[in-house]
Amino acid sequence: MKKRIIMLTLALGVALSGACQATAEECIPCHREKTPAAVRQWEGSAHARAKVGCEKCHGSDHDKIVKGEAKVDMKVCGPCHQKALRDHKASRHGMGLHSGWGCTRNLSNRNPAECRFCHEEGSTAPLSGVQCGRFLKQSSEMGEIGCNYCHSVESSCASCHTNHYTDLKIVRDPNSCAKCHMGPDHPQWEMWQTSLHGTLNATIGIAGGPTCQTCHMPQGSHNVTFGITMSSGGSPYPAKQAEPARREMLGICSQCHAPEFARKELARGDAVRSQSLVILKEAEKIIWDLSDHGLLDPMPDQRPDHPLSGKQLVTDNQLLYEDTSHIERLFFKMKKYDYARTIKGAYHQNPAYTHWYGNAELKMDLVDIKAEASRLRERGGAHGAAGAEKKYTDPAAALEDALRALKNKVERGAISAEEYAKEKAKLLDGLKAGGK
Amino acid sequence: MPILNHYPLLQRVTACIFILVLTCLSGCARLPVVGTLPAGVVVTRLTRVDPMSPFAWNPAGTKIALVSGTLQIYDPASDSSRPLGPAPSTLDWAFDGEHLAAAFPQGEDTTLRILNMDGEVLSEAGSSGHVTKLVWRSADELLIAAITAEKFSFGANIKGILYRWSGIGKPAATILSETTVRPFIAKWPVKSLDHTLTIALSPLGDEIVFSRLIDPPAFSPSLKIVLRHLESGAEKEAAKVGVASAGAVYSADGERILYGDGITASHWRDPWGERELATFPSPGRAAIALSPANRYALIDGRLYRDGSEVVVFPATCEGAFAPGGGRLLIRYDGNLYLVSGLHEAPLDSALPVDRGRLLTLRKLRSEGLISASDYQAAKERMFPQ
Repeated sequence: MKKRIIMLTLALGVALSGACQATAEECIPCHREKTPAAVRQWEGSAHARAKVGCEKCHGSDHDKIVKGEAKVDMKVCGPCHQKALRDHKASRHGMGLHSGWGCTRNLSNRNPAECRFCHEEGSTAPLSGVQCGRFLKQSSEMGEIGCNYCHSVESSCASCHTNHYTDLKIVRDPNSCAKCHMGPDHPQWEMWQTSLHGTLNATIGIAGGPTCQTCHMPQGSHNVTFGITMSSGGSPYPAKQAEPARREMLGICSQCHAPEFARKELARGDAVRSQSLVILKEAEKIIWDLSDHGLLDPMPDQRPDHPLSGKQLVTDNQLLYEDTSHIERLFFKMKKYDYARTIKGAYHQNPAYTHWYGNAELKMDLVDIKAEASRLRERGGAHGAAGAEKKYTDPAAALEDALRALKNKVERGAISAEEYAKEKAKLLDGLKAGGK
Repeated sequence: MPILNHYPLLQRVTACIFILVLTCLSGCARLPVVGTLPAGVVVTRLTRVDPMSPFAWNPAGTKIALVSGTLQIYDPASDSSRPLGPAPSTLDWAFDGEHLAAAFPQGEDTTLRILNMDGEVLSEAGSSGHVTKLVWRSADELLIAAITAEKFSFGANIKGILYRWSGIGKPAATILSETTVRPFIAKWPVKSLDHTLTIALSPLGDEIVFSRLIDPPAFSPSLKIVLRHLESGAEKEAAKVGVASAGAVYSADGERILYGDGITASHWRDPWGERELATFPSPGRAAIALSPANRYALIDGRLYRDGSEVVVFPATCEGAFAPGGGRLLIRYDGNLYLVSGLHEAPLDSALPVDRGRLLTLRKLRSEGLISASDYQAAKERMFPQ
């Protein structure tokens, strides 16, 4: 009896596994014609060898697949690739780089199809806590190719691994990183390629020079934040977070270099970062000061609302390159391109990126920003020269302007309540002494 | 008889009968009075006027613009009138006492005119809606409050508009309030809707206090009493009152407002310090009249002196104190009466050199650039008593 039950169970198992295999086989004849590349890639993949068929990842609802609603995201891959998923989720790639949040439902020209960038079907909960003002300014098409082709890395393994190949050659090649880590904002791929590391790698191979993956994904880890000591915007982490990360990176460097040499190299990068941050903050202060005096042209309340902060001035990571004043646009370039290139260039040991594409541009940006600030101050605000004349020949208007700037400062936390009270009293004393 | 609300029932009935008997006996030509007029205070009937019509003292307090069939200039000294033209719905004297601004309803809209003492029209312009108040801000500028109602099946859109007019060209409009009201409010009589927009100009001419109608769906409609700085447009809500309120007036120094809540009482309030200073047991359903130095107030027919009730006239009467003080005009039941002998010390006027700096401080306060306490401290330093 016992034997019979075992035999029956085995027979059932074989029958069921046969049915599953049959599902993949069912898809193949048709898809060999309809999507030959996908079939070819799958047939040569580890998935095919392990008998992971179409249905295992795509499901069996063909209508849904045709409509593009059966996306193979991390939830599909995760159960089999648990460590990779765990590492990925702990890293910056997995921690909300998806550029969604900040719903577009109230935008006049919004395309309902873009909901899927941020929400699972039927859910109002955003997929990540990350907000991106720049994403929300784009059309659906631009959002898809220009933003989410990179930022979908948060939830899509295919973002790096491609859809049906499983060959690790692909993802071990720095080109797979270059898709996103290139260009004006963070050209790490170009920096690496033209650094000694890149040159040695190109000439001698992996034994001579490391790739992106060697340092940032050691031993095949999917945690790309390994050893990083600053945020993606270039703000240094507090010591509690930075020190262990630095030890991790020194551990990587020390596999090839003397630890002291590595420490000095990274410390030099830290110094460049601090110096560059001072320059950046000087420019940012100029912009806030102009805003306090109502001198930006246009002021935030005179232009389309920022998708996330409305009429508030934004100079943090959400700053825009459109619907903004010229001086803010200069600051955008300074912060997003030149500051990033300076510090990332230094950490990637690339002299040209650190200096000419970075530091020199950063300092010239400051010159431009100061010149533009002078022009705006001379002009006296967005309302033109006539307004400016009136503004500065009327002591009451000058007092009002100074008080408004002071109020703006205290409201954004640039001065304390005590400093505010003291400065305000001083200004009002001026009115008593001889103002209008 | 809301005027008598704070009396016990028996006294109320007695007072009503007394007023009724007096009215009948006098043949509508005597102003009914409850209480004893103070020594030296005399009530005199001046002339007939149209019911609910506007009237105003000239700046010198020597003549009265009134409506008796037509617009007339009445001289109380000689008891003579000079006709000036058709009857307006509201009017105000210019600072020079030689011109009058008046509003003439034209269907749903209004024609504004500036007239000289011969009744010649010196300037004319149109404005949308019914004009509820018209006041000279300076020799060159008139403020006009108007209300428009656009009716729909679901209610009406009620707009309160402030026009500023120099007498040349078209008046410049600013929306003071815009409220979508429910159907039952849309069906209110025109007078009741007009009553929801009142304005008063501060004595320094820099601010107005006006009423803004609100009609939240799940609550009763009400009014907000709002201060608005005329140059900056900065606003401050001072109080919420019932729709029966006839709005607010400024104190002589422009630092306080007196308004009726339309329900039980009128309130002296420091809107910037957000303090209640005093209350009167009159709901302020008829326009409040304040004497120049604020010693006297006429609210819903009750005359108060130094905060205490002196005498009671009918609740529906409206009044205007003479600019020099001492006299009060009361319009009641188609007649205009003069109450004289009201003693009041003259008001000290601020020096012109101080005025500019005071106006600057007030503007800064209205814009929230200085606090009420900053304002007070700076004012005390600038103008030591």
